[in-house]
Amino acid sequence: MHKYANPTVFMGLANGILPWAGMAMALLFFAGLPMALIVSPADYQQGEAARIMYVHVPAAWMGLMIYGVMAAGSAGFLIWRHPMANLIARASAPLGAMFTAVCLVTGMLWGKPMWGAYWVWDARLTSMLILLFLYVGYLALADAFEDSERGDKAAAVLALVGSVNLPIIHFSVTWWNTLHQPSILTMNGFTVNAAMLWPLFLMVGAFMTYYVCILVLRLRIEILNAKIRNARRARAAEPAVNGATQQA
Amino acid sequence: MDYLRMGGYADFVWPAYGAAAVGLIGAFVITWRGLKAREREFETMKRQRRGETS
Repeated sequence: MHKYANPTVFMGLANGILPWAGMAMALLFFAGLPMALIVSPADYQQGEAARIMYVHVPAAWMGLMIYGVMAAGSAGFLIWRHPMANLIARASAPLGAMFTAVCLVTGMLWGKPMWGAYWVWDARLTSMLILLFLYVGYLALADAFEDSERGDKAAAVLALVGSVNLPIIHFSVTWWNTLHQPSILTMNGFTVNAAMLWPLFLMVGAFMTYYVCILVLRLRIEILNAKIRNARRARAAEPAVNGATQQA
Repeated sequence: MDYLRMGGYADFVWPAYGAAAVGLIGAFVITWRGLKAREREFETMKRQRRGETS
């Protein structure tokens, strides 16, 4: 595991994965979108509006999963000073925020025709909104300090503390009275018919491979940022040394 | 054409897919542009560095 703490080794692996993840993503969207929009049956209660599920649920799962990745990366950074773990957390945060925002917007568009309101302050919706704020807070904190190391640490602590929200989101539909439907994944398997489950899985796969692709590109940005920062620091140190020798 | 009406839910289904498309494509475009900008910055830096040492 610690072998992959080396950015060169890690990026070698990540860049090798990229074309395969890209191809898998294209195939999954190519199969998933027509299945979600055309092939899958309309719901007997919700009619065609149920098709919103195929973007809403994958976006929600990605929002949660990416926060898990971010919290694990932050833990790896704080405990083992694993530099790649921190970069993975940093590179993941904007994508997690985007998926959470997509989840909230598609949820509102689904809520209006089904519940009669775009927004209700119930447990599931509110805890999901808090997830978005945690992402935004992480992003703001990570770049808030002149000294990037301090920003990284503060953001990592926030990511870890915020992970308490993940089980709250998951169990919110069981613990409290809510308008939101219960989880479709239960101890007895999935509670959704196969005709709807397949398009859902394909869309989840498409969103996941999308995340992998963009994550690799964002990791390249993070590594270039670090290189540029180090080069600037080295250059800033040089004139001071020259000045000192001239004085002597 | 009837299909596009989404059984009367067109006003909600299409914007939902649109929002997802905007989010995913937008994040890709921002990432791609950021990567290209950073690559250019790094290249100019390397070139300047070579210029200084020679």
